Amino acid sequence: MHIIPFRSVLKSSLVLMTLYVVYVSDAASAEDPATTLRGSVDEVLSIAYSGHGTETLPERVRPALAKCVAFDLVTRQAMGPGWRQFSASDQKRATDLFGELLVRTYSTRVVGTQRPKVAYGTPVTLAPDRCEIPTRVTFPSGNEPVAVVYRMTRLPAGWRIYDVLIEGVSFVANYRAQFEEIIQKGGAAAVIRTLEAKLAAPPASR
Amino acid sequence: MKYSIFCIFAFVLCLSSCAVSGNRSAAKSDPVAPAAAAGNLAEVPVQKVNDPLERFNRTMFRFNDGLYTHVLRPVAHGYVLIVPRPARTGLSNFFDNLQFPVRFINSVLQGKITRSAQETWKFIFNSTAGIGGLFRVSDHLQGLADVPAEDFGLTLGVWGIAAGPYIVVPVLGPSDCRDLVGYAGDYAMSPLSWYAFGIIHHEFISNAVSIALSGTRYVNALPKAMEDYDQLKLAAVDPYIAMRDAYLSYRAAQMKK
Repeated sequence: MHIIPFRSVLKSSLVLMTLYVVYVSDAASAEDPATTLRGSVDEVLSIAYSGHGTETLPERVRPALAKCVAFDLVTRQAMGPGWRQFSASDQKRATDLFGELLVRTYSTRVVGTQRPKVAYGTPVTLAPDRCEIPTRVTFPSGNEPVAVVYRMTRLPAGWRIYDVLIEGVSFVANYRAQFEEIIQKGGAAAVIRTLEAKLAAPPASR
Repeated sequence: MKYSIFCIFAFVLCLSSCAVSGNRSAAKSDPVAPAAAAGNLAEVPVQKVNDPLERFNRTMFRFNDGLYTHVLRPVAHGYVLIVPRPARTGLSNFFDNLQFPVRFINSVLQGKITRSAQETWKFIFNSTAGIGGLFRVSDHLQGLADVPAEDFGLTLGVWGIAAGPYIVVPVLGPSDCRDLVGYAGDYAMSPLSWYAFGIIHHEFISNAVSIALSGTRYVNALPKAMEDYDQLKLAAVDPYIAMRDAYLSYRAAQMKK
């Protein structure tokens, strides 16, 4: 009679202990997401506002973005369930192309010469291995401040960004909506064709 | 990444000065299911969109795109050449401050009393220390820096009125039925239209003044609106859907504030 409750208590305390150990060892071995994010944002902004002009910006900023953004996760999410029908090589190609679009898109957003200021809010835990960090970006030019939320997940290599919400608009969900029809109509081939065409077009008409 | 996509529509809206808009009823859920482990992050549901007019909307979207390219962008370019950035920012702040009654009334209508008080203090500080609203001194004051702007579309949403179908309005861009009504409501609450409604009688104010002010306000908002629109288009693989999702998500987020 008492065995069952006891067992469940034992079980849950084991789970708690395990969680605790995981938590403690993680705290010791990995940076917390807020620190990682700050470091990444600082690095990217210092490259973007180093005064070297915007033409070579994609080349310069690509390594820094690749370090802090999980391009593969971002791409996978943006494609939705259709992703599973992609062959391994199509997945690789789509990830490369979409990552490139992301890098170029970011580069076009860097305007002016004065570095914006980023204020960080308190991280919100979404799951044990995921969290979101709200930030507020203010511009020296006096433009309206912008609310940017970073969603981060813990991967073996550390915390990585898997989505960015600007004023409530999710980057991933926005592309997910755009790719939906393309995937339904033409699958991986259509996605790759679309991305290639997009990247090949001159910036003015892209 | 940084500022973004939605600024775009945020500003196409701004063409219309106040945001009209959004699908708060179909408010988007967290795109990533909370229980998903990192390996399952791929499952982002596509937002259900109420867009029965898609064919008409796409046509209108193309029409607007042409209008922006051939008419509004050249106007914006010319305006930027004539009016330097600090003056544009000052004007934008001035008109923003002038729209105080819209935000105040809507805060009250939504029962957000603290917010209406914040708006009032903002108006007082910016009108005095900010020299008639040219400078947003309130941005440097704690508690007044980040007050979400209310409008009548949001008020209707708070009252439980459904957003209705998404609709692309000629010239102004993305909206939905509720936000269109909201737009009309905000128009009536805006001091810029008070003369036309006979609310203001003053020897220095005439319809011409009222129209000139409104015109200045729209043209002044153009460069930013065009920049935002161009950025959205530049990043999108399907600009129509990118704009629709951005607009609806943006309004849904505003609604939650």
